Amino acid sequence: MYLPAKLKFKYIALGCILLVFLFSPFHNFITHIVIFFSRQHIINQETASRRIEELQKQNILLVFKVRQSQFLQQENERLKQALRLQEEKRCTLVATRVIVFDPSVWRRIAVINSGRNHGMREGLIAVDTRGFLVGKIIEVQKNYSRLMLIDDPDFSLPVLIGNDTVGMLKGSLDGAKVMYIDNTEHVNEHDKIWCRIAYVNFPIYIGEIKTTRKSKNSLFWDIEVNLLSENPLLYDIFIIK
Amino acid sequence: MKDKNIKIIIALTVLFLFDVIKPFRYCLATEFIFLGILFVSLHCSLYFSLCTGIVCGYLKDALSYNPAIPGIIVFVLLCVYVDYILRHFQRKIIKIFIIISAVIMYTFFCNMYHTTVTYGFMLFFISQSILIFFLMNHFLEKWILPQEENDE
Repeated sequence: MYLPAKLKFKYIALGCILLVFLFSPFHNFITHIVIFFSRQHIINQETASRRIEELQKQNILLVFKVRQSQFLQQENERLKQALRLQEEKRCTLVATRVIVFDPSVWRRIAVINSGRNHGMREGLIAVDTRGFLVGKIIEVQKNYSRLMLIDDPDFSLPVLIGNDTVGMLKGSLDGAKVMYIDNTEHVNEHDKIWCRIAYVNFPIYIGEIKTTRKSKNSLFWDIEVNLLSENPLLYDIFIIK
Repeated sequence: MKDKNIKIIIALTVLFLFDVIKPFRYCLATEFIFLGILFVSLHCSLYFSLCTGIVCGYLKDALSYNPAIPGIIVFVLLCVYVDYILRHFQRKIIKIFIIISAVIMYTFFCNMYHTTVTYGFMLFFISQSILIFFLMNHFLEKWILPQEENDE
């Protein structure tokens, strides 16, 4: 191989220095330095990957915490709403939760976590956070009660439409119907349906008229109701005492 | 055989929990435990299906409020009905007839005492139950009865 004289000298000098370093007492020192830096690099990589893992875990936990706080915020708002309702209407509300449901799809009955020990009794009315009727208590045990929801086929309650039209609300699984309203009475779609309970001094709203039908062979209106209450599976239920 | 029975019991427990907790709210108008008993009576012996029917019916009645017709009776009748038909007719299409007829009969049984239930809800129940049963049957057959399928 052809190399100019100056370059040749440089390569020879570099080779000599390398040989000196490799076989001299500095040899160990150099290897230590090389190992130290390579180890440092590996350790850095390991710590970085460990840190990434930790951060990923923390991220998952934070996502959970954010979701939890969102849920708590929503719950807090609902409870505030209920508290406002209690103050406005001057009544006592007891917050309860649904434990299980009736296994039959042909019934709309829920078991709630308040019983005789919590002051529950048959006939008490349940409302949601906005004060709309959800159902009524039909059976009370020591630690739990059964709540019949409005759309249960056995649910019945005397109700008022508008100002003075009286009828009977009955559940029909996919909603509710108002029965026994004479077809000479004036009822219109979107009229409010409400009820008055003996121990409560304010009206409780249930829903509004969805459809009205007059059949030839009947003396009464066939009225379907659009219920206003929230789904009891998702939210708290309040019992008016 | 033991393995199959354990798998069936696990499946029935999950279906019963579905009925009690209602994770799908009231969007799904079907009774999972009824479909489970129908599945068991179609694929297992009368003795085993009767036993599961009695246990599930008892549990269902225990959690129900004044059931018009006790679930224990309905499930036992269902098992006997399915077994009777399967003994006399062997064709595969008979199974489809059994499923549809059982769901329709169950609808009328449950609806006997309620005057306000709409026809819309009944149709909803029948169609959803049949569809969910076929879906459930497809997956449970793969999980519970893969060996038997191979033997056939």
